[in-house]
Amino acid sequence: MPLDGQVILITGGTRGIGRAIALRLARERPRQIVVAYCSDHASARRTVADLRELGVAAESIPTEVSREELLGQLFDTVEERWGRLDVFVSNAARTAFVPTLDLSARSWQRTLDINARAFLLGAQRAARLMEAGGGGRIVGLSSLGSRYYVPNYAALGVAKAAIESLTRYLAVELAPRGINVNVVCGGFIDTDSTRMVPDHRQVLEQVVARTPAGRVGRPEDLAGVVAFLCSPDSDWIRGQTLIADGGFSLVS
Amino acid sequence: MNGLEGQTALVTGASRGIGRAIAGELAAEGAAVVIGYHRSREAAEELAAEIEAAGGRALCCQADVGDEEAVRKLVSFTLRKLGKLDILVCNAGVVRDQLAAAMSVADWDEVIRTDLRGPFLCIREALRPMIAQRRGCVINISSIAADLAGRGHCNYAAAKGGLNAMTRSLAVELAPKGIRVNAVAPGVIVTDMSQRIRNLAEDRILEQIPLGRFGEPREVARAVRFLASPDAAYITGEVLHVTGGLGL
Repeated sequence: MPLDGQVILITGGTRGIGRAIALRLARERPRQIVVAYCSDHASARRTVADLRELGVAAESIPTEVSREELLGQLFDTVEERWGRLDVFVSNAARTAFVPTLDLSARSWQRTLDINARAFLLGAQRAARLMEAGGGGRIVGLSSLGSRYYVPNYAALGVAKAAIESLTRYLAVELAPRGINVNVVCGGFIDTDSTRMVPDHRQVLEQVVARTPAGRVGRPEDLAGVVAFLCSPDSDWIRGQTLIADGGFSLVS
Repeated sequence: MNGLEGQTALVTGASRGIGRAIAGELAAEGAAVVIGYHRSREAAEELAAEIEAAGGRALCCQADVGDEEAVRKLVSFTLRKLGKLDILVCNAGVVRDQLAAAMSVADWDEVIRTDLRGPFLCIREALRPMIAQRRGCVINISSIAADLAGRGHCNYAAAKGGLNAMTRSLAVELAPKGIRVNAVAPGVIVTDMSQRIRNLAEDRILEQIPLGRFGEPREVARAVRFLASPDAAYITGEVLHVTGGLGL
């Protein structure tokens, strides 16, 4: 199995896309999956229980990825308890969906901190642990809002663009250390979070109508791509943004 | 692993280099494979024997992918022998490098014919059975040369750039039929085809590759395997760069 003996950390790993990634990676029989989450204890318990049912050691750890010291403690805990880190999936995301002109300085900063800054700081800490263990894989999550206009999405779109750009820088700088960095870019994925988008149902119908593949994306659609980027099969793929959107962006 | 058990694949230009690795990789996953070749009959038959010896299924079929009638025969051979066509990998390609001022029309035409018209003919022919079964996966082997400018191969760059554009157009056109169309764009891979450029400028190219080495054919083949797998079910119209960081 490709992830034999490996320790995996997924932020935002208890719900939606992060949960699907955890369940998908569990199929590769890693030694340990650690799912970090913000506040939803019930989802954390459920995901850990589901992972253990699949026969994989799993733990959840509450954190706030926007707070440097708490994010640092998360990596300290991983280092102390499991002694290594092989895969880091920076998936935690949050934003306020508002028109660009109504975007407050605070809201902008918060979105950038939770999404882009957390990816940078997490990758820095992950790289130190991975280098000590001889290498590893870092996977970021992005969305089409990084490159196209999406209503009420300015802050998150900019943060995702930063993640894609950071991925290229990290990929080049970490390549000599045996660490592979790539990012998966999803179209509109049906999750708890996207249900918070204003006029969610209407948006969903429009997306389906415009998607060549004729359906909306599922968390599992991205999880499969993350699994590929965590496997040796993607060793020669560096700093890339892989779009999984059923063809949506081709006709936009 | 047997992720492609029960599926059939046609790989063009599969007797050597990247195509050979792709055919081997798909066969190892359980797919029955047709090895399309143009001139290297012995190499093709040797690969088929290797695959059969490892417990897989492989057949050889000669074809010039730029020839409409030959492509028709290649696809009908696949359908006749394997009963269906699930995965088409358009890999056959040639290079005729020359500075533009000195490039003959024959050099231009031959590259466009094999590297661009070839995939079009193969895909068009494969569509009928794929549409009938409402399922199919097409993977075009492109090149980083489509995006990264270099001297002496404007014909090849144009063909591969065209192939990327065709990939996106067909992805949109064929998605409603349940057919995914993607491309893989390798960087500099250790093959006979890249030998000349590697000899010419080895140090200069290696300097530009963050991983500091040339790629292996199997590293491209694994990306193809992924795009053919259920893990890539929502990916269509993509050009996946497999370059060790070249081009970043």
